[in-house]
Amino acid sequence: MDRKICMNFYVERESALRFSPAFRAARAVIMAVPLIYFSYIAWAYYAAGAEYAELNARIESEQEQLDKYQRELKNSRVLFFDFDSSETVVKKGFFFDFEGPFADTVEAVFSPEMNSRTAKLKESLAGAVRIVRSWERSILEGISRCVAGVGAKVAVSSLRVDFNSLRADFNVKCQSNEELRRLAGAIRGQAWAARVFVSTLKAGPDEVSAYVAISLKEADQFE
Amino acid sequence: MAVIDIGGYSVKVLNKNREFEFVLPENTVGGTFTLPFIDSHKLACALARVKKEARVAECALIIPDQWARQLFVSFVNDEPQENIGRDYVIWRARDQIREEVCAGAKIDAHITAVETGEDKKQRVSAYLCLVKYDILNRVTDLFAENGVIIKNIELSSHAVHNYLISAGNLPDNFALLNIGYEVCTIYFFVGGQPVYVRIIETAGKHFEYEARKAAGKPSAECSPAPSSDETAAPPAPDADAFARSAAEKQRYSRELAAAKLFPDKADLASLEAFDSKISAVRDNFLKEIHLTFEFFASKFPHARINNAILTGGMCRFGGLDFFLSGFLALEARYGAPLDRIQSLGLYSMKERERNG
Repeated sequence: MDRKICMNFYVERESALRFSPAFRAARAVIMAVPLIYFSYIAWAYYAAGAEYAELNARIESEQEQLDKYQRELKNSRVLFFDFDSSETVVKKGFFFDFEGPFADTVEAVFSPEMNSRTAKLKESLAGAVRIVRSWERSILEGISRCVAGVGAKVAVSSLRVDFNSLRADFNVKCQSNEELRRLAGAIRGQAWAARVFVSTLKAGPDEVSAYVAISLKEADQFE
Repeated sequence: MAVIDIGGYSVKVLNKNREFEFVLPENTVGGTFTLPFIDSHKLACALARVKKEARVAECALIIPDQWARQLFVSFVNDEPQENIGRDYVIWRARDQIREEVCAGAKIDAHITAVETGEDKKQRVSAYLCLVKYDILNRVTDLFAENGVIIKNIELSSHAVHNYLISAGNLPDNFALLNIGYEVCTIYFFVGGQPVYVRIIETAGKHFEYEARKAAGKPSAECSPAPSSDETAAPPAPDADAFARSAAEKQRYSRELAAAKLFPDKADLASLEAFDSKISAVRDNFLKEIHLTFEFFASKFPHARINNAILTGGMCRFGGLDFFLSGFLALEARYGAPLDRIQSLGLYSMKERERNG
């Protein structure tokens, strides 16, 4: 029998585990992980601080520009002025303000596919749509030239052009019947005018007001 | 790993071949097996110094003998069992121990004999020690709170005994007297195995109290007895009060050592001085030792004890080896030189940890 008396009254206690070096080391490592993470974030933030500020300022300015462009885009309307020449105009004041006159003429470039589709549409509509040859502008310009040729004190008002009924009419005030006759004669001389009817509304020594109705030539109006 | 020995007088530490001793204030450690006592606040002050000065993180702990109940059991197996281990012995011995004794106590065993007789029956004898879980838990928690992890717990006399075996030259039959501050533990060994233990509750502390009373100084014995109930613990002493109490205790110990309680030589003057001095504590101490040896002789008449080995801090008073040799009619000698006689357990535990 062994003569040495070796007894052990050791008891395992949670308190001893909590204060053991291994537990303390493990606890320190676990607690250090979020600290290291936040320290790294702080270091990264402060290291790139200037860059962040610069980028933020850039984002703000670009955001402002974006807002400005968006407003301008909403406030503009692109119109096709002439389908044949693809002439387009931009009209401002569409969304936020009152619509203004033509602001700019821009060139619109259609893709080849769009061009072929347009050609096909024209072919399919050939004969189904009457294309106005003499358009409103030339009629107005013609009337304007006739009025200018008659005299300075001729006033034209309530001018209307209706291609459906092939009719244009307006009220006119001039100084004498002679001027009125000359105006009617000038309008009859226009290529687009078929017949001109004049109805005197009021006649006086210095002023004559009349209603002029013009029937438009169908063949000259449409292709 | 360090070794810490908590006793009634001081906490002794051995760490990296350096010895430390931290004297404890009065009534820090004490009690019995049934009511072990420990003053957590005072011991915590001492542990703080241990941690700071001795730099101990883990330790093997030596606890006082009076916290344990020592029993000797024997049982018979009708058929011999192989590998009689301590768990088997504890299990078999439980029915020999009263329930109120082993309830709430940790039991460990040392097998003293396994013999198979002619009738093919196996007789097993063992030495058991019981320590209450309550005190073990409190000590472990207190040490842990102060940053010291306990890895092993042993009794003081076991550690001293193992040291003596390692030192060698130990007879088969001998008595080991471990005379400390609170109690004197007497172990009897026959054939190299323990057969009888007695704890005498008269030791260095009682001599000190008697000396203080004789000198007209206030005795710590008169102070209110500390309660083992931790909920009613007194307020924690500050570091200054702790240091003052420890210093006073050391001073009284030095005075007692200088007073030569026991004659150390066959000198007429010394013997006359010894006889003329009246000391109730001394008389009680010697009476109890004598009764113990008488009882052992009556219980083990075949075992003749011719040697007694003295250890423990009270041996530093001097003269005990000479006096007890004559008093008990045997050869009494100190287990080690007097300057380290109180710390033998530390070295044996260190060797035990080293050997695994």
